[in-house]
Amino acid sequence: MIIYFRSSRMQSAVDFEGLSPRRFSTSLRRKKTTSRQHCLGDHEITMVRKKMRSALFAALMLGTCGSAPPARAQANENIEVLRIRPSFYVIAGAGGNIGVQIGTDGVVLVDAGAKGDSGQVLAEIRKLTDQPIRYIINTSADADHVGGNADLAKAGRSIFLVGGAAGVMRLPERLHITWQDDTTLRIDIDAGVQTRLFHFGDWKAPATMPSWQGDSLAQWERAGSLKVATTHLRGGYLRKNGVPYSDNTNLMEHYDVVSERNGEIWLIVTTTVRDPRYLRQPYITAAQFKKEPDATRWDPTPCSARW
Amino acid sequence: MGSHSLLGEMVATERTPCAFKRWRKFVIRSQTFLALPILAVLGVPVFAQVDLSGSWAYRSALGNVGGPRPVDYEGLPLNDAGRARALSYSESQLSMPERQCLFYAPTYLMLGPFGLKIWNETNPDSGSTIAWKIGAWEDRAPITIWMDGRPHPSKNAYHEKGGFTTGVWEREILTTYTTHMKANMIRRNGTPSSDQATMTLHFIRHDDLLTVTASVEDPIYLSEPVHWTRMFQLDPEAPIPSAGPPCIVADEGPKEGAVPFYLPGKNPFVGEMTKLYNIPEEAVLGGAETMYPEFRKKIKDNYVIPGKCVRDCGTPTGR
Repeated sequence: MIIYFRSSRMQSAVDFEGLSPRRFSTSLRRKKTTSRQHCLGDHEITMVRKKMRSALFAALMLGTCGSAPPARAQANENIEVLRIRPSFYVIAGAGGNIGVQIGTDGVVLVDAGAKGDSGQVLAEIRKLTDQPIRYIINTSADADHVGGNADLAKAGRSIFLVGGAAGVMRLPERLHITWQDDTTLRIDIDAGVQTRLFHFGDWKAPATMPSWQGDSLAQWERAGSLKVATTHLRGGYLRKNGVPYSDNTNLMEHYDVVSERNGEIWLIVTTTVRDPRYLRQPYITAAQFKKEPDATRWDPTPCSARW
Repeated sequence: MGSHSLLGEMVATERTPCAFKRWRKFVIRSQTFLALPILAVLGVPVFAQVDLSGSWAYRSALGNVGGPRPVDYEGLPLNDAGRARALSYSESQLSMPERQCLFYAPTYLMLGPFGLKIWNETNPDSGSTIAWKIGAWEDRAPITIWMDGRPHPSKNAYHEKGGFTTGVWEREILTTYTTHMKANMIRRNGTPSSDQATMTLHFIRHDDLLTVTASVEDPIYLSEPVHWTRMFQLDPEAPIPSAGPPCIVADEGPKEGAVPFYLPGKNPFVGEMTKLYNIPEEAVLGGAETMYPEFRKKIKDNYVIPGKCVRDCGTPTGR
């Protein structure tokens, strides 16, 4: 068992640098969507996407077919909560209409209403479910759609780190490296609880949809250097400010171990991202991880909306 | 220095008659050729060497080209002395006539925005590499990496601008060790390094990529080593000069003899990162724990997303 941590500046905080309020808001939303994706397995992603599509469809129907008589679930003076389907509600009267899709692991909101009503909106959501708010999908930048973003986001839980194989190795994080079997090296990553599998030999990728971690083929080069080629990736983000990579991305990594004079052992990961769709030239980065004496500081942490 | 013996031998061979010179080369190379399998049989490690020569373009995508904020020591393992020294630094020192042409220390290799020009110096008799050379920048002296096993000078020896560096191959990775550097900085905002600092570099080549990782230890200003990794890519179509242009002193404001600085507690930039980004001051001022992932968890409750900025956004006076 090997545990590494990465020494890093607090890039996540600095990433907010220089963003105007509008850009900041946009960036935050995008990151939420992104990081949530990195917290999920592909099947879950598919399910969430279906739910999101349902929520958007329902919200659209609400806007275009507002005269249809939905079933009323709850109401008070200021806000009405309308039940559209068993797990989908619309909160009306708090600025723009708010769609509420309740899933097994969280809530997706379509718009957040006006700022002044967010406390009451949150109270109504809590009457429906105690699941955390995972997404807010804004259909407009107008105040009656995004005003409640900040307050409702504080009640949320998911968020987003840069993730997927093309971005995850640059996060401040620890790695837990083990052999899953004779031909598969497993890297567990505590930032967002992600797992990468490096396959050796003549492993053939199963015919599945592209995934966040892709299909990784590994081979040893010279003494102690590991070369890993990853393809079949689902598009994601290289940076937390929304710099994307596409499904066409090829990822090449080199893992090298060096020893320092003071006895420390470091893992150096050199990463080259090639994406003909979004990048004009390879995006080359490197990260360093120090080997730890034991696993006492191994602390897998799910994606967090706070940091 | 130990190199003098080799240098002397090089000079001597030039005075050697050509026929004998060729024979001598043949003997030395033959001995080398025969020695390799013998060493292998005896279990003596023989590490392959990699050609590092060429023009390597800077490719660290998260580069430092823009430079840091005046007081941003995040991720640096500063001790109290290092922090105090850093806080006394004024950026205007760079404009002092006495310091405009003051070179950075070799640690600047990992901080500066330029590519690397690398070549090797060989022993004309044996063909073996005596030293790897890294060309100078306009603000950094050339670095010579001695590969002939010579010892480092006495700790009392003069500290050159380029320091003193030796290297060995370890599994196709060139590992170097630099001592005798001049006092300088480890971030371009005056974060100090002392003349007792040492630096270990690892040069790792993969095809046309060169990964350079550094570990800097400083018993005066750091409580732990600081680590950096940078990327370079071979770029034969854009040769990098082996020396920088001459430095010419100009009047940039500060008068000769005046040293801009801040008294303790008077640095006006201490709160800048907090004002701009709400990053807690304990993170901004650095320290070993700011290098580790769990520090984020420690201070997360103190971090509040900055409020809406309407004026002078992106500046310390932004509101």
